[in-house]
Amino acid sequence: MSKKRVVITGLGIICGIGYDHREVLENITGLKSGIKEVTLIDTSLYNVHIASEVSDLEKKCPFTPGRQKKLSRNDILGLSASREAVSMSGLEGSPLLKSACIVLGAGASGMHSAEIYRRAYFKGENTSLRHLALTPTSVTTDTIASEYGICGARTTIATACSSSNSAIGIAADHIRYEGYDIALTGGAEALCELTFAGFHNLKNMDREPCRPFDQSRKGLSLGECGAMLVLEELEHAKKRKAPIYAEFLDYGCSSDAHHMTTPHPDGTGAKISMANALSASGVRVEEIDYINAHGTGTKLNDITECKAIQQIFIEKNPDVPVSSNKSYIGHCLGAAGAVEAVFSILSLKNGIIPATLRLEERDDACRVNIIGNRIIDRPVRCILSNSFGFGGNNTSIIIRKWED
Amino acid sequence: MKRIFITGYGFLGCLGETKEKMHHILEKGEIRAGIIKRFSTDNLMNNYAFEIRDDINYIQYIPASLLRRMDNPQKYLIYSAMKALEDAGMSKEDAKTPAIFAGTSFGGTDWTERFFVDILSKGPKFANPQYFPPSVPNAAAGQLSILLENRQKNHTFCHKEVSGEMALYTAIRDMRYKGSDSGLVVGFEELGLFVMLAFEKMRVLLKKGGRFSPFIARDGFIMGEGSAAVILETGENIEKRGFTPIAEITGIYSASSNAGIYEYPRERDFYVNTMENALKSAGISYSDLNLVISCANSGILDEYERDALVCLNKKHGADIPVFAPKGYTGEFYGSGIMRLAIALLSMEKGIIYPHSWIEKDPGYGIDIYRTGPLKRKLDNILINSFSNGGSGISYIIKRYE
Repeated sequence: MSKKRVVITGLGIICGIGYDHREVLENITGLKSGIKEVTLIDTSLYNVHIASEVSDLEKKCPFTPGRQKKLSRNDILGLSASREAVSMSGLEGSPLLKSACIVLGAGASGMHSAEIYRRAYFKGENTSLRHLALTPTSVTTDTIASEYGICGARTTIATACSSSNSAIGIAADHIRYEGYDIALTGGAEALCELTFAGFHNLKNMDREPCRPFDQSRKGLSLGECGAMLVLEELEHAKKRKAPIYAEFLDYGCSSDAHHMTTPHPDGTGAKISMANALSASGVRVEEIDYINAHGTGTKLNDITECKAIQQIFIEKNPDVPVSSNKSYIGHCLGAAGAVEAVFSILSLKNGIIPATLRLEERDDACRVNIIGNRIIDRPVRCILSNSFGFGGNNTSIIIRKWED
Repeated sequence: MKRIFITGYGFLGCLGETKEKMHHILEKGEIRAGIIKRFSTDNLMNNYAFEIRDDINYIQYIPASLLRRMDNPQKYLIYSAMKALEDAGMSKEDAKTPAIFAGTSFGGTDWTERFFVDILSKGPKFANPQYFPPSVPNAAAGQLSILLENRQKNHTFCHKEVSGEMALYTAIRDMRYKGSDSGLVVGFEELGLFVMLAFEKMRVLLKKGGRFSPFIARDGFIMGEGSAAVILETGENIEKRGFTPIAEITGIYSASSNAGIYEYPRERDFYVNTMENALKSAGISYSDLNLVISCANSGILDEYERDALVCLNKKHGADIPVFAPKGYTGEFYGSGIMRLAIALLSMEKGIIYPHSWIEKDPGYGIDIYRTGPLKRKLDNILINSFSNGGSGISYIIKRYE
């Protein structure tokens, strides 16, 4: 039995370089970084003061102040991206969404709201219970499902930084194996003090905007975003004449089985996840036109990821271009896979390979074809996108340009 | 479609850590809730919980150097997973092959809380970074893969009360259609002050002077904690290993309803349809069931589930016994696999356990009044899980013969 084909019929994004996909594309090609002084968190007691924050979220998001009060920052990011994705897919107000499923990846989720409550509790002050109620990891999924009346299977996956890549893969599985025609998938991640302090105290953050793969890189920059995709079974999409932006081929996962916070030094887990994605997708190594790297900017991640890429690609596709979107928008943790999937679709649609901003001198240990401070205009047909997380969770996805 | 079998299970909770201990507690109908000892409950109105109290010999599974750096969820998950692997007769080499699927709603809440308290009390630079990595819900499952040297996929699902079942649902699909031969599915949660505080503020914890009595009173729940794991294998894998399974998962169904973010669906049809679709996928009728494992927790959900069961009883002219394990484990959102473990124990022992908190038949139209254990051959058991926010999963296990 041949595998059902899954296409992407809607995409939505809100991140540090734009409030929708058009603005994001403009800023990708304009080499604009969204990493700047943080306003959401008081960083005066930290050594690092920057991140890729979505400025003026309250003013720019499409929800009334009354509605916003009932939502966490994470919900607002997720809902904003969903609104764009659903609208692009032509499904706004459609009864078809009722029978859809939803699978989201999550990171800190409503932690920002929990922190408001915790701070007040710590000081012995009263504050609204709603801050606490918005904390559970799955609230954003339930909120988005409720917004669109989705009544199919509902899943939230939390595997740290690989969450939303896994979510996209699992959503596609729902279409392939569970009979769903439509799946809303992706993720949201709002900045919060817990993750800021956590990465800060693990000494994983750069004081300057991150420089993935650069010789002098000193760590990551955090980011926040909402990024959503509408996945659809191909024949269903064709039948309703839906716009098709790209095809989701498949995904591969692995565990490092090495350490909670540091990757396997040989890149073993990363290599297995890429190999599994290639094999599941039925794509040959030489067919990959661009690797959207996890590329956090930490010493260890960049080296081990490059080692893994090298091991797989050295023989048949040694010059495959590699870049890191995190140089634009920071590391969006639980939503990193989803936001990078949207970047990848924009690459496929527009025939561009995004830059790795601020790359001055490539680290000698990163022996792959890193694309530095420039955009490459070139037809791109097939992209492999990596996400690796704490706990050694790795997920790679493969997306292909839509060709009927 | 490949058939999926359960070849082993393990658990750790207030009902103990061995099958015999759990069986004796349930057979006697012993309620093991007590005053919380792990943390101060000064700020809580309710200071009762189903806490893990026994000295657990973690060191048999976790090296001391690692144990020191682990929070409770990591210890719980690893302990139950190791027990399940042992029960399934899996060697160290075999344990490298199952994909890992975990379910927890909150993950490591205690260390997350300590980290945040450090930030507020000592200043962010002095917050102990050791407390940060366990704040990711997949930390415990990640530690398991490290210990087992298991490089398979490793997913953690966080979706309130159905977290464990979502892990199970995904594992089954992976094995049926995607070539995995085995899976380790685990659900876990720890008791933490902040989560209790949140539930208390949301007025879902047992009210002062109230009764914790699933299906009988709606006075709120008592919190619990623990972890349970099952080993799933395809028929081919079992044959290869020459192992006899305990049960088969014959059907599963997942659905959702737009109930509101913190509400349970009110429509009876949602519950009825979820159960009926699970039965349909198992190819059996409601009247073929010998037992329903309910998710009743002494809150409003009990009524919705009860009404659905009454409806199914009437529709099929049946009176299927119902068991509510949360009366003995308390409520914890990652408890799904614990209830599966209890169902498997019932099946293995051929016993439907009593509801010691039900003193007389309430006459609801469902079979829940049992003062003592009931000997019964249990061939087909339906297990329910419904969460606030509107998700539901029901599935069927069939005794292996």
